[in-house]
Amino acid sequence: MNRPWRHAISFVLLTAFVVPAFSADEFNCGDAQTPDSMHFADIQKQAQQINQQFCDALKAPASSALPREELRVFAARAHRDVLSRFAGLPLDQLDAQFTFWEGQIDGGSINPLSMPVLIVARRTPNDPYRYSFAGNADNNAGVISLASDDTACASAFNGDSCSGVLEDLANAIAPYQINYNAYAANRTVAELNRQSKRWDRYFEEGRSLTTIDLALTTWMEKESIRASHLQGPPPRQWFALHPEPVVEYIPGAPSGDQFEAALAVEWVGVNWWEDSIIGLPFGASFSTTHSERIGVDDMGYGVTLYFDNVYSVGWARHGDEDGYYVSLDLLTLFEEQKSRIERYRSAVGKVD
Amino acid sequence: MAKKQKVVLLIHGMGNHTAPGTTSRGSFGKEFIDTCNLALERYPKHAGQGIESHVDIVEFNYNAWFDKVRTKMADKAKSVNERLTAIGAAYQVSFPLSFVGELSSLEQKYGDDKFFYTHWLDVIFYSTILGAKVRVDAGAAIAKLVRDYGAGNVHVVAHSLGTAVAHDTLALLYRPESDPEDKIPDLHPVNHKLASVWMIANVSRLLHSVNRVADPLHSVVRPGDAGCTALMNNVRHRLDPFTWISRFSPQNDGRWLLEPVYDAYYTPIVNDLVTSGNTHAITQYLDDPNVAEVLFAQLLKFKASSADLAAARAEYRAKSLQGAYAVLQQELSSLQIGEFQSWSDFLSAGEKLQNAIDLIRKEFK
Repeated sequence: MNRPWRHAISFVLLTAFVVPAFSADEFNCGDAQTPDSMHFADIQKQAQQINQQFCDALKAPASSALPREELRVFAARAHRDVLSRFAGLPLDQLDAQFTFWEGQIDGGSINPLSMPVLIVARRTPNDPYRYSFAGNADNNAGVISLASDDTACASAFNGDSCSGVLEDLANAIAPYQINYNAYAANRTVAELNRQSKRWDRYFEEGRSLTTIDLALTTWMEKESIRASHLQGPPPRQWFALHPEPVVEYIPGAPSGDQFEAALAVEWVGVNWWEDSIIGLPFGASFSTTHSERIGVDDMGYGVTLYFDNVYSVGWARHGDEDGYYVSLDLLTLFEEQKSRIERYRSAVGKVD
Repeated sequence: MAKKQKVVLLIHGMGNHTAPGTTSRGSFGKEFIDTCNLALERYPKHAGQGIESHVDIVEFNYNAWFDKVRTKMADKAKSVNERLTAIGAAYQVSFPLSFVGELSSLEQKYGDDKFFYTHWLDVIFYSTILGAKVRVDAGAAIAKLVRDYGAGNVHVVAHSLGTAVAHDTLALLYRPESDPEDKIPDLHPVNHKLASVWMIANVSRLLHSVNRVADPLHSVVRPGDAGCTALMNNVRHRLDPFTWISRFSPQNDGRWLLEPVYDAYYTPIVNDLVTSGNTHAITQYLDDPNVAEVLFAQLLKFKASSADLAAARAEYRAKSLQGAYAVLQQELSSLQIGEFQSWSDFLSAGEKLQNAIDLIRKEFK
């Protein structure tokens, strides 16, 4: 092997291992998108530190385990701090909510980890604010319910209402889960984007569909479309009474009428739009062709084969005569090839 | 502009909706923002504030893609019709050419601006495999906002056909259990619980009876611990014909939600004031204080006293068209649009809805 090729191959191999593949949906750890806490700065700082540790672990999974022990310590400390800060205030459900939260972090699910936020929900202007960790709202007795002007917290929290203090607490805790939950959502985004591109290709590169084809494909592929999860495109397209302009050659037709424009109508057909057993998109249908020639039956019955979603060739029996047809795209391709061959011959002729 | 803490994802309904550009709003986004801004003016503590000073607004548009499909079909039908003419086919009498000719003639009209082609065809398209692609794209839009803002800061507002898109997508996107057949990682109802979901002129049950994707009364699209959202709101107008068929209207009887969850986290809203000819329009829904004050309570730090709320309602009532409700109710009651069992019922319902809309428009010309 000569030296330039060896250098080229070495370069390719080196960059393949050193330079990570670029992904448009590559996950970037973001800054916590929550306002600075007024009353719980320490808790918020610890939450942000946990968030960064998750970022480091998720970006380098081979070398870093998820900081589960640090997370447990954070949750336990935050729970203690909250009970201490709210001691003596009429917010009995806080302990139960934080006990639930610690339980989720400590003994909840493993894959994924349960990483809920403290939700602040107000249904209408006349309703109270309701506070509960995600996953712990159904037990109404455990939900903290406060009017917006509840003043019970004012003396302990610089004049702020209890609803304001609890919203501040929710913002202080929230950063702990940002990167972990964002990372999971990013995996969803990446795969959905990939499937969206496949859907685009299904409609742009696959064979064009009429309304009937859409209906038939929807019906024939309903198991995949009605699956209980989001889906990429089905492997096949189905066709019924699908018209396609073609050019047909009937050797037995009168001279001058052998090549004619015709319309092929696919009675029923199927097309594997992305790949097939022959290694490229392929389809087949039972078809009729329609044209007008003296002495030859207008209608011919036969089969059509489709290649690469664009080109078709077919055979039809018009009474006693055989007809052979190609799609206009294939004809154009032949003409382009013919022009290229003629140009080559001209060039060769000139050299000779 | 700096990114806000909260974001609203808008999902439009049937009809022509221009897509947003890189620096411009789409038509649905513009309607939402303009109407919210007008409504905010009724509350003294928020006068002069625009909705965009409180939340970011993101639009999911699928109409542009449906238009592309419609145009491609219309163009292809044109070339087929030209070939039919060229071969001098007597397609009026000879099958299958007669059928092909009729279908091509129909598809050539897909570019027309009649109600069937601009509205009902959207519903038909959504019910086919085209809908599966819309759901993947909507899922990506939702998951991106969950990733970038945190699910607890994401509000989804859907209107008309958009409610079916929103419901079906969320139902397939959020799964608490794993499925080995599912190659797309799902969002989690606890870790990725949304802040609120708004279904305005909800047709999700109507579409379910056709496409069988997910039953709105048994899906994860609900508030509460097992649901995908903290708060859920369902809005209809008594004289919006699109909400008469297969109406989503669960009662507080413990069957859809536990009663305390229904009371605390679900808001059914029924409007009956008529201020414009189009009772289905998103603008009429959002302008009504029944909707606006609840939307603002959930989206922003909404401050309005009881007197402010009452004054806003009185101002809106003064805008309403006197006597319109009674007149419309009488005229529309004769249309008898009910549940349907087949595609022909479905298409007939489309025709009746067109008649209903024509009646309403004629009344308020």
